[in-house]
Amino acid sequence: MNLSTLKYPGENDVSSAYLLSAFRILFALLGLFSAIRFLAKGWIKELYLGPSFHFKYFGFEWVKLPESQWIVYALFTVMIISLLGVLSGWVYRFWAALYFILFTYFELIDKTYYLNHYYFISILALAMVFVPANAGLVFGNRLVKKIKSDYVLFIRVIVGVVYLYAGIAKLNSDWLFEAQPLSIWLNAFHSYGELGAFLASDTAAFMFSYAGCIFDLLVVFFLINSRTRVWAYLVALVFHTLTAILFPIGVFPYVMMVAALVFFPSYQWQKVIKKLIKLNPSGIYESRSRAGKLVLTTIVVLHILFPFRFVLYPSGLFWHEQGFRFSWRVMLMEKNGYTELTANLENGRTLAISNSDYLTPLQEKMMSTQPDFILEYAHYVSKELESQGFKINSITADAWVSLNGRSPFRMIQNNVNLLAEKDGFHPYTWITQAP
Amino acid sequence: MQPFQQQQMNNTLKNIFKFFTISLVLGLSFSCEEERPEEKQTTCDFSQEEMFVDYGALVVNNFSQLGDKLDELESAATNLKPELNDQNIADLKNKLNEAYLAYQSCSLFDFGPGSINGLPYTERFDTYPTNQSLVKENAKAGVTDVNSLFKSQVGFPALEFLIYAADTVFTEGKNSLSEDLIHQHLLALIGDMKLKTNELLNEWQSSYATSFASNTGTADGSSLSLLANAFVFDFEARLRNIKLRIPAGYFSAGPQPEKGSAYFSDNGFTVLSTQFASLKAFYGEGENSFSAYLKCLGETQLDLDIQAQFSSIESQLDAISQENLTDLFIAEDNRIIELVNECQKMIPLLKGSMINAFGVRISYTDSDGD
Repeated sequence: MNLSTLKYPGENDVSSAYLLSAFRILFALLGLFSAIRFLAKGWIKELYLGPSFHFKYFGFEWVKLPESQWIVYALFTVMIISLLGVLSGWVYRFWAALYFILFTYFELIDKTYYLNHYYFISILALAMVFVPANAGLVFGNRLVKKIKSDYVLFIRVIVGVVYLYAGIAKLNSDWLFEAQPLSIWLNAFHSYGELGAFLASDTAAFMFSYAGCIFDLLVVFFLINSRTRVWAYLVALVFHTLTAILFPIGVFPYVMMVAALVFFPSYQWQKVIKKLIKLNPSGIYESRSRAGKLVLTTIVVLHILFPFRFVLYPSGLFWHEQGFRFSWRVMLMEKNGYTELTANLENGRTLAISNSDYLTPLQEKMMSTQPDFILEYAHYVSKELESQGFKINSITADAWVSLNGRSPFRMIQNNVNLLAEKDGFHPYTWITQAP
Repeated sequence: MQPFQQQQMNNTLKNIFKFFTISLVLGLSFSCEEERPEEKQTTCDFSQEEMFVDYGALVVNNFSQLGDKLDELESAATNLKPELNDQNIADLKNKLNEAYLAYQSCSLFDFGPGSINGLPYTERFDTYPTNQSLVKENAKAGVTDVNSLFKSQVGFPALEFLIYAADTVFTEGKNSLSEDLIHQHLLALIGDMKLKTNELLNEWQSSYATSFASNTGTADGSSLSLLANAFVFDFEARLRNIKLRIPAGYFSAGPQPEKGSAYFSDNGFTVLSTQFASLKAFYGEGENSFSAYLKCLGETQLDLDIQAQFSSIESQLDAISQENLTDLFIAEDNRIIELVNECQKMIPLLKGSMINAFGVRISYTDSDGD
């Protein structure tokens, strides 16, 4: 993507202020919706306070939940307040930074709950700290200042890369030639009348696969082009609405519906906002942090490069998942697995590990198919057993995983002592060849 | 848009289109050249609905039998009065064993009407080890409000403990069973199970069987998903783990035979082999069984593998049919390990391949995306 094509003629420093200020408000509203939904569904209790153990991201093992559940609720409440702060625009940078820190903190507690769109919100939240999105539409203030229109580009690149990379990730043989995993998921509609029968058919699975791939790959280019922009956005609305109806993917579709709006030129945002509220141009520039552009550039560069780290690992990305996360690989696979650990004790006995003693059903499901989870789990179980007085020689895994509808295969070499293996970025040699 | 930029963008778009068309054409021609593995038949004449009708009939049949056996157990318990003797005690034990064996063909069906207040009814029928001291207290106090008791104080294990261990548990030995309060509690425990069984049966017969039969498809909550998940769970958790691996000491520092099923009656092997036979029949009997469905889905080899694995487990069971299960657990007998190993080999077949072939999912959790 050529960066200059992301800056449209006619956009100026005033209209850019309108765009970013309004985007700030939409971003905060979206965050509020997502956070309140999370709270209302009881997920704080279920996902954070309930489990006795949390799976950690490598390098972030130190991110822990406070002992008291009230502090957890308090932190979540402060996160919601920080969103109100972002919404208002008062002391904007402080609230935006606080939101980024708290949202990311909750994300880092347990990688079981990893979602691409949470990561997306984290990145966007970090970027928002460094763009002057408080130049206008500040609560109780009718002034609108100017900002450098370049700031809009950063946001456009961040959103654009998500679509483009999601499209590139779909260029794999399971997606294109087997219509998997959509085929498995759509099959669930089998019984809902004629429409259901159609959705469950091979034809539909292939249509959806190709449509999804083409959409992700091209939508950004059509959103950039002034002649196709409105149509492309309408298609995006239909696409995201369909996925919201068909698949249990929560708020993701709404996040993208809002995010894609940044491809509309700032003067159009300005026009719409002017109809809603009258603002007085102040003629001066909003103050900005000196490091702002440097940080934003760093974010964007990492955002573009980080997903390609998978090339440093052996083939079979979907199988070993090293380099899979944080890469906009959305809805790419259906893995189902069965994994059980065995502890071999010093006295020669063996001990089978009952997963439900240590993990919630969701944690067990995630652990069963992802090697880094299995490794961390083995180390955790070993510590637990030792605290109960068992002396442990080794822990091995009996792991059977089925990927995108294939027959189950053994995923972890079952003679490897997982206690002798370490978490990290190095390729794991104890994972079997992908089937 | 300035002409130059417009031009540039058109070129970018053109290039993208070119790239995409070329990769598409390459991809498609590649896929045509490649020798595809034997295509699995994905549609067949098999009727899910007929399968569910048959399985529904099986549920009704099994719960009717359980209901009959509980009736007999109740009369045997009533017969302890006015006078308790060796014969009515023996009859009571016998009826308890029969009812427990009938239950082995019912434990699988703990979904739909089998879920009482959101919990599987099996929890209140068969949670063991039973809480001995509390069961004893409840009996002495003649508790009749069984619903207020925890699951570890009710059901078959509590009954078994009271009836078989009365000799040693109560001061008056087995004669205590006809003592007013204890007798009253015994009848209350049985009565509660009878009531739940009848409710469950009525619901299946009156309405659930029909909606069960028409609930086709593979979505979470579809009849296929419910049945397949319940079947796998009954095998994996109740048979392999609870009846075998826990008492054999797989999860502990040593064997824990007291955690086995039918521990007080020493009837563990019969109970184990009855549940196994019931699972095997569930899978493979009849023209509308899981076995038939798999074959129809083109998974003949998988069906053969599963049938063969059932036979392997059966041979291991035959090898210990003359033994006392508790003794085998204590001795850490190698035949138990072999039996568990054979059960273990079944898990990937059922939980992986069969579930995949059916297109259902093994566990469901609310989620927020991908």
